[in-house]
Amino acid sequence: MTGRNAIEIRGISKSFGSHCVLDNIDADIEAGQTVAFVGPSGCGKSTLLNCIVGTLSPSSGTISVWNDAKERPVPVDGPGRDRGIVYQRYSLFPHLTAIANVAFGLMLDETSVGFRCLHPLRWRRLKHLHFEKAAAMLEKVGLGEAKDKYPGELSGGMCQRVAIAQALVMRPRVLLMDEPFGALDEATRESLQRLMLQLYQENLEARAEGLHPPHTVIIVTHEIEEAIFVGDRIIALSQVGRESKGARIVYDERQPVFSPESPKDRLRIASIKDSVVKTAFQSDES
Amino acid sequence: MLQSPISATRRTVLGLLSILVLLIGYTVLSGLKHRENPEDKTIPTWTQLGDGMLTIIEKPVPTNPVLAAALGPEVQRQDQQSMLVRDLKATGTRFLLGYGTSVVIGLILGTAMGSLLSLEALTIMPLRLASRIIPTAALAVFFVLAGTDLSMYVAMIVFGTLPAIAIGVSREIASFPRELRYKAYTLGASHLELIWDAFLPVRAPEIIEIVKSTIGPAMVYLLAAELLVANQGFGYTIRIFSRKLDMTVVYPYLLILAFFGFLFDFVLRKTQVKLCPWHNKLG
Repeated sequence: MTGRNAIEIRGISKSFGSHCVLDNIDADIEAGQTVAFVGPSGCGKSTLLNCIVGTLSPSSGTISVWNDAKERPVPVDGPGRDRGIVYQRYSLFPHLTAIANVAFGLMLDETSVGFRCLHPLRWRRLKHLHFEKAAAMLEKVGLGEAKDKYPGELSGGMCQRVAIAQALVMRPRVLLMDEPFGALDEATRESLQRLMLQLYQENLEARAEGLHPPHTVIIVTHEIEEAIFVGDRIIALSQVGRESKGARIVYDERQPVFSPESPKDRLRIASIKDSVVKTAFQSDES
Repeated sequence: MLQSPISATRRTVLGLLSILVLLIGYTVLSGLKHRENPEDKTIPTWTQLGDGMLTIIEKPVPTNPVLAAALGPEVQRQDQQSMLVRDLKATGTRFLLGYGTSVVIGLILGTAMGSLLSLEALTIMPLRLASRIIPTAALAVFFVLAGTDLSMYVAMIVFGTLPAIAIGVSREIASFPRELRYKAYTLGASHLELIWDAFLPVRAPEIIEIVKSTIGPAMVYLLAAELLVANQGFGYTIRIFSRKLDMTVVYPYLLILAFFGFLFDFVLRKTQVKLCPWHNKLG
């Protein structure tokens, strides 16, 4: 059985010394959602993401991730394989080819150093399976032909595709992305956004067949257009007018879903952006 | 324009020219010296150097049976080997044992230090202090503590190079990108797997570079100790012949040592290319 919520964020506050960054954040992320966290730089959206990854522990509150084995949400305690992460940079292991990078997680998860040393033959068979899975995953993210290249030989956009495949092959409960396309040029960025929309389409197809949606995504971005295009829900954080008390959720709405194939409806995105900005970030000034 | 590229042919020709100039310069210098004193051995002629090399590689003839008997079977057996073989064995054993120990312990210690910051905090001060002490100047300490046999040379090389290796390796491991470390954990890595499958392979090129940079110092420390106290080995032979102002053996020996320097460098460079094919493909 799988719960409705992939992630439950309950009363998260985070201070660095006397500097309060997050103030009592509550949110439930449903399975199959693509939630975009937006907000001005320094508003704590990356801090919140790091709390979800488990690399930062909140000052108070808990974050729980749905655990299939225990059939209940389990509080986050450090980074774990139920949460995949794609960073803006240092996304890939430089010493592994693209396909080996994707198979890397399967190896780490399913084997140990001891097993690989003691059972070389069994490990070779298993490795073969891992590489088959990895190849299929690379094909899916559109990188089939570059699978034997090293990250140093790949462009920024290709690296991020591999990084997404690397996270997805682990079938994480949630895919976390921290400004994943921030360093890419406009065209590459849009093609990767469309990749995210394709993943969302798989969710819709699974739902139509009564299955569990496979991809839950949290994407942190400072670009509201990207959030609107990729996300089906936008959560805006802001500490405008309350700098010393930390950021709170100032906006949390469902968004229309765009199709991965049709051209970007810039007018519609712009009009949604206007309303987001008005409700989220200008309420204090008016 | 400065730094304009040159052709490969020009590079080769200029390189060969430099060697030619060295050889001619030496011959002229040696000729001048021998005009004053035909017996001179400080800048030997090519013939003298040839004789010196024969001394090095030929097995010594037991000229004086009485002396050989007096020196005992130990010395007799040693005399069955040519000078070069004898010295290679002695110096080689000391070097491989000392430097091998240093590299293995340095790698393990450095990796552990780079991974566990408490261990780093605990060990960094003594290591820094040790790395500042000049091993050749502290030779007397090694005599007292480790005698004058093999263990002294090993201790000397380890003391001289281990701090540099451990500190260098720990720095490389500690500067492993945070994002990649987090990522490895989200992919299900254990602590051991993080070290074995991420830290070490990703930092392998830099670690090999560190090892490469300590070979020179290791040889310096070993040779210095041999020059002072050994009764066989490269340093010993150089000391004996230098005392007689006989360079016919010393010059070839210096070249042989330089050759080993080149060899180690070459082997490590090849290892780096072989182990880290991705390294030179970084954009």
